[in-house]
Amino acid sequence: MEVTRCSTIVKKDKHNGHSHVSGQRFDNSIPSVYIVGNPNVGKSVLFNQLTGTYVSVSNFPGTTVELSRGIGQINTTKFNVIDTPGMYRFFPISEDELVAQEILLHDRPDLVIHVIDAKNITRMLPLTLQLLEAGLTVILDLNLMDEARNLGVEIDIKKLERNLGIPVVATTLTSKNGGVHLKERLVAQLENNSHEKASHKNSSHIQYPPDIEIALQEIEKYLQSSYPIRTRAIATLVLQKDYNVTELVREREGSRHTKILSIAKGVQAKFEAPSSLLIAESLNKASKKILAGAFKAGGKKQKGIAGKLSEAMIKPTTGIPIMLLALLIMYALVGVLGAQTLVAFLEESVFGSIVNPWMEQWIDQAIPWPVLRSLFGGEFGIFTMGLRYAVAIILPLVATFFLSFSIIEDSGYLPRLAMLIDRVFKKIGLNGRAVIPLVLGFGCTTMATIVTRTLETRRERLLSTIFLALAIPCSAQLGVMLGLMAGQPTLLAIWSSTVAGILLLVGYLANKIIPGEKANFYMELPPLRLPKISNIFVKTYTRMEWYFREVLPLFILASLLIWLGKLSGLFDLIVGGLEPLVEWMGLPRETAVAFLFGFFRRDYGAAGLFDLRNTLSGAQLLVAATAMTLFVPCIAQFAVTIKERGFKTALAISAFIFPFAFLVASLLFRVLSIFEVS
Amino acid sequence: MHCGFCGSRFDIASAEEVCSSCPIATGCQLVRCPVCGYEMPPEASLITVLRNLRKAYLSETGNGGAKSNRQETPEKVALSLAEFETGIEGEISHLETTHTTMLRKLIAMNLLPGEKICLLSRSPSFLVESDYSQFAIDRDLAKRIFVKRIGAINR
Repeated sequence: MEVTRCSTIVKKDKHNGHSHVSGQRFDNSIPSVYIVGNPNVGKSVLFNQLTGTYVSVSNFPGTTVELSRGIGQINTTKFNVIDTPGMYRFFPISEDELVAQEILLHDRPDLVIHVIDAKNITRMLPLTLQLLEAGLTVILDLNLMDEARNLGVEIDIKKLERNLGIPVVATTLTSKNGGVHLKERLVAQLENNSHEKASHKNSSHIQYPPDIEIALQEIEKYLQSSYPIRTRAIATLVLQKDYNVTELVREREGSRHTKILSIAKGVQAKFEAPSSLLIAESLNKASKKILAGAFKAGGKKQKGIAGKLSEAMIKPTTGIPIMLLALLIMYALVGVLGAQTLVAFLEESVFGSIVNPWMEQWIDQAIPWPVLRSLFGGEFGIFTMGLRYAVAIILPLVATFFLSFSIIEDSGYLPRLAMLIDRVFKKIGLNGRAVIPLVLGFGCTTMATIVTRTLETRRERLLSTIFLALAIPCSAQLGVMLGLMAGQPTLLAIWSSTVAGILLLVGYLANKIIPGEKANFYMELPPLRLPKISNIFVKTYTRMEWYFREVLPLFILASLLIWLGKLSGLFDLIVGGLEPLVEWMGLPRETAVAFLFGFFRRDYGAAGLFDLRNTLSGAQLLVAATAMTLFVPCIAQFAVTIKERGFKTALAISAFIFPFAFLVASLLFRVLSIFEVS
Repeated sequence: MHCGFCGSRFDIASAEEVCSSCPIATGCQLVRCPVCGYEMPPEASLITVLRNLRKAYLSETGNGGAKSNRQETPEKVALSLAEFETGIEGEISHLETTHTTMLRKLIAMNLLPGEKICLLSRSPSFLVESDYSQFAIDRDLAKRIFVKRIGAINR
């Protein structure tokens, strides 16, 4: 179990009770509502409906890595809404679940909406009971009611409400069913809250084995400082060896802490099974008792086309062709439509013949000084190069990539891919789960580096960060690469097999060298769903806008820096330094400029190569593309790597990648020249 | 397995938990006893196979003529999910692990004793259906879940 991050979060919290939700979208003077639940039950949909803003809604776990927060208003009641990463139980397995637990442990939410998948209520109700045990005010939202009804599942809401003692609402949020009722109950609960702080009579749902019960009561006696959640919940979490809570108790209880631990040890000695399993079984029993008479399971699922397709995606014999087909479709969208058709249109027809000549003319008239003129126009100008790269080369690629990624994501294919690929990934020290950050890396490696947080052990996070920095090209770069080698399938095949081979080789070696625990693969397979067109477009647009906003200032900055570099002569100095390196790889001197651009952004460098594509031979293109793919991550990714993995690790990764990329490329050049390939 | 020094019984996964901080753990073939810290090579696979054969032989002869009505006996031997048939409904009888994270994962998926499950496939990973959800798990996790057969369902 990975624990390094939790202690820092706990510490941060000591000084500031609301450190997780600081920021302008949080108002301390109004109550806050937290959305909690399993992954993939519709938490983000609820968030969108409560706040009227858009966050990405997806069909795979790990989308909500950062907290989404917003302000909702119903009639005159205003409240903060916080969407938490998916969690299964009140103890965390991965870092994103840790975030969810942290929030509930420290933020003293005024109200928690526990969203569950109605048909799977038996499996999800234990978390509701844990939330209640913690003394939180909870509304239970049975979402995806339509799916449950179609299966013939019957739930007696009134009875469930009585048994649980909290408001229960049935909704189908995607089709806006029950949302109004949920909002009414929410307001009523918030108003109720302000009159009397919730005093739950319903924490006694759970009956623990007598020895555990005695131990819990004893531990509670020693928990004398104040906690944001009930001491009963703290005690059960200590018995379950929850690292986070145990640390909290250590900090707050001082010498009593050792006594508490010895009670926990003592009770464990009485049982053969681990306490956490006994507690889980008690919770399970309690939720079955509550559901007795209120829940009737329906028939088994009809297999249908989706079921058969799902099976085919998982079986290696059919799964691998399906994976290749998915890649092919992606190539058709990004490599052909994006990189060739759209780029050609925007670059040649729009920028080449309309925007740039007009811009040059305008600049010539408006700016009398040639030095300043070259800042905006000319070879490296903000308008003529920065804007052109961003709009004409990068934007169509990113758009087509995000479009295809959204379709794949919403269909629920990714978890199936994870299952298919798990065994291969085990060889490079990861498990199937890592497919999500790695595939996402083909979109934006910076974003993907943040998503490595959903991986469980530090070892896996480190390995996937290395792979993202080394061998995974981002969508923009990939698109330019594909465009670069478009129409030359041999080049494309050698390039992709070299990069994939390097990934496997480095992975295999790193797996042998890097210490740490390996993690088991487990993943829920959501049902395959036909993606909704509106959702796909909204999502693609949102990501494009996000990307563009992120990228444009950097492109302008890059143009500015290059201009400054050119003026001061520094630029030529660095290019001069890079030239021998570039020649060592058998490339013409001009490519050095592209590599320098690569420091600013990967795609920027690739776009620089794209500009030179007609002057390079096939072998040179191949070598340049390989070096550029393996070469250092862009500034943004480097910054995120520092943030996620620490400065030393980020530096070490770069120190390995930089010479390694050039070494591989020059080896490739030498091999190519031995076989006299041009 | 049993520790050769202190004799305590432990499972190899929880021994690996002890190894995670060791820098040479990944290249190392030894198992470290979580109780006393004694290091020994894990049991050779040949020995395990022989041991299992012997166990199987003993249970066969122990059952004697009861083999024919084995299908009707309600109290059946629990098999690990790794050895369980696909497409048959089963009930989890117990979990065999003390490894904290492994347990947490099983609890998170609610794969707990008493739950009814059905193994849908075993390759490339194990696919388990419980209620209306499907979970993919690897062989290592599947080995920890022990299941009793309760009847066939329509495939």
